[in-house]
Amino acid sequence: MDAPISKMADLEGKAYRTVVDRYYTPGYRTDVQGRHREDLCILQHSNKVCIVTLAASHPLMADGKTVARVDFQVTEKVNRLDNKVIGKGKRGAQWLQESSPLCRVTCTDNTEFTLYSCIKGKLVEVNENLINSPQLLTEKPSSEGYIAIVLPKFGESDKEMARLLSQQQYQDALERRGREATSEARERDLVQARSKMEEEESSSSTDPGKDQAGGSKDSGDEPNQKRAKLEVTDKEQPSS
Amino acid sequence: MLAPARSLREAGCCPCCLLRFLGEKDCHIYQKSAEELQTVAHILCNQPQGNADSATGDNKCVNTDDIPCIACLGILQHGCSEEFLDRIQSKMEEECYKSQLFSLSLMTPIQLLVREHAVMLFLRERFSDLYTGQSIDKVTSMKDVYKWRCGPRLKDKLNMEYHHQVESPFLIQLMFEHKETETECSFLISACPKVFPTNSRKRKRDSEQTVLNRTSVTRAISSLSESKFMSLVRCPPEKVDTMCRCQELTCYHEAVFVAGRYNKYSRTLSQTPWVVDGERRGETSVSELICTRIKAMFMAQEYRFSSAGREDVDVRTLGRGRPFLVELIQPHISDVPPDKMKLLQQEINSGTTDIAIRDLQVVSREESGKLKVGETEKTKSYSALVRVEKPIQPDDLKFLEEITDLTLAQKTPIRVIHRRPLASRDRVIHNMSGEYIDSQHFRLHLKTQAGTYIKEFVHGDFGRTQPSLSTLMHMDTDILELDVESVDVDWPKTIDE
Repeated sequence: MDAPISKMADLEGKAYRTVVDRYYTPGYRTDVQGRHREDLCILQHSNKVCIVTLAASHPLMADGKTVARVDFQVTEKVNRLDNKVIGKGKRGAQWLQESSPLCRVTCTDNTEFTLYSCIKGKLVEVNENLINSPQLLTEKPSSEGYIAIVLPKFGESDKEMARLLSQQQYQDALERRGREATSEARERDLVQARSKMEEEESSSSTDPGKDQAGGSKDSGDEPNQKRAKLEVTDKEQPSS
Repeated sequence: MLAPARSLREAGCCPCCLLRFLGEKDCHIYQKSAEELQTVAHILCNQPQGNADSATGDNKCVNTDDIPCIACLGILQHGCSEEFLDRIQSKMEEECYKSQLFSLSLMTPIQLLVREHAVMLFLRERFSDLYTGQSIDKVTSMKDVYKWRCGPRLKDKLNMEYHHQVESPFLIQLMFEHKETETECSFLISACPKVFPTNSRKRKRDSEQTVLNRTSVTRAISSLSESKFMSLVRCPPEKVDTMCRCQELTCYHEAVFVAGRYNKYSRTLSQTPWVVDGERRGETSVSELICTRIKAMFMAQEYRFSSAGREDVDVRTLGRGRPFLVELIQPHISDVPPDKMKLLQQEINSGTTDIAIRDLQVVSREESGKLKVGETEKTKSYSALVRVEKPIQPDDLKFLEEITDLTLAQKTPIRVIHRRPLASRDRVIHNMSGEYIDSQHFRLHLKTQAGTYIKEFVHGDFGRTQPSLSTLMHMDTDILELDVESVDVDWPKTIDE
């Protein structure tokens, strides 16, 4: 019997979804361990296995850092590479809490980051490819640069994922972070500009009384200049 | 022979048991009718052939078929009657058992071991010159006599072949019980402490039923001296009022194996019933579409489906298809000729467009082992629809043809890691070629070693399959569709062209 041939049109009619989109649901943890902007993304497979990956908003990616080394010796006694699992049940696996460190990342600019599990479960494996190719962490965070594979306790995977942020919640969190950063920066600049203004005023005047009057007259130009400065500052918002 | 025969008759033995204890080994004698056997017994006892029911005559020496025998408790009497054999016949008809051959199996109550031994000791004491040194083995076995008497007669009733002592895949098992004498072995427990250790923990756990079995009772009896035994058991054993009853009549048919090859044309059909969290996913499966009708044709209790490898729900199987095997448990019908198999195949094929089968045939148990050989040793060919990240030209695919016998290291794919041990497996891709479709798609053809994960080879499975098509082409590649083009196994035998 001749099998019907698939038509390309049929396939591309539906929007193409990547392997990750097809089979994995993302959950996010922002500001992991209270560290600002250190965000991770946990990909949960339909079979409930979880993959810990870097979120695009993490400084390693967002700040364009180059990874020099990934070290799995997380404490004096614990090295994630020593993890040995036996059988289907992954007996002997290192047990992870949300706060368990998976690895320490060192960048070319000597900054260091620790990446944490974010979910509870058995450690199946860490990505050993990161030893020889640490750059994969930032170049291919959602595929070859994954951090670790974690197997939550039977029946608990969904619970663990529910404690993380959904895609939408993550997006909202990023937006909030952006606005906060903007308003923080604006406030900082305002304070700076104001204090500078006060400095200049106190240094340029001798007659306090005249100053006040003069202030309003003499500084005909200056306020304008200062206002212009403020505006400029407004536009130079730091990206978050 | 006269004296022992008389004594046995007096004691209450039926003609068959009488002959057995006299050492008669000729099966033809036992195959005589009940009346004829009575006559034989009369003659042996040197009795005139009188009316069996003469109340005035030697009542002591008369044993009709209505009085249960002390040695066989009626198994060789009522158990061999026409009435009983008719019962067996109707059971066969009721359950539609059809087989070419049958064999019989008897399970007799264990107290018969005690009783037979008692009769033996009785004879040894009374007629020492004839019976000393004679072990119980000299006595013709009750089971043999039963099979001689009933085998040929059942053969005609059931219209099946029967040969004494010949094994057949179809077994009729008769389980006899005799409630009246059920406790006759209990004395052995206390009489033979060595055989039945009085470890109280064990005693409390095991009921008398489990402790007293054929082996332990045999051991216990042989551990007792003749005098000790005779002090505990009346020799010859007591007469009884009831006949043995056939408590259970069960039929066993060895599994029958059916093989074939299947094609799968659906991308939404699982191979076996798919259940997640107690809920059924999908209406049916490959195994159900194939096996339901086969099970019905053979009237089997159960079936077990296996195949030379498996494909995912969304993968088609083309070409000559994948070999499969169906084990039919407890089939009532075992003999299905090739033309009926052909009809069965057509029926299955016309019932659905999702699958198609070919070469459907009955195979032997030995042959069925060839299926698993196919799974692990042979090669498979695939065709995959690949989507590439960066635009390609036809020339970009030429390099694929130059690769032969490429060894991959495949870690357990993430999609199965929840139920398989973590390991790395080496698998070989024997050859490949690429068929250009457009700048973003091409069809990859490949022939691989059995057990290779194709999807993971294409998309790389998070870099856990090395090398992968992604690494070979230096770009992200994804698999949109997969088809199995051939499963290179030469089994089962080709029937359809």
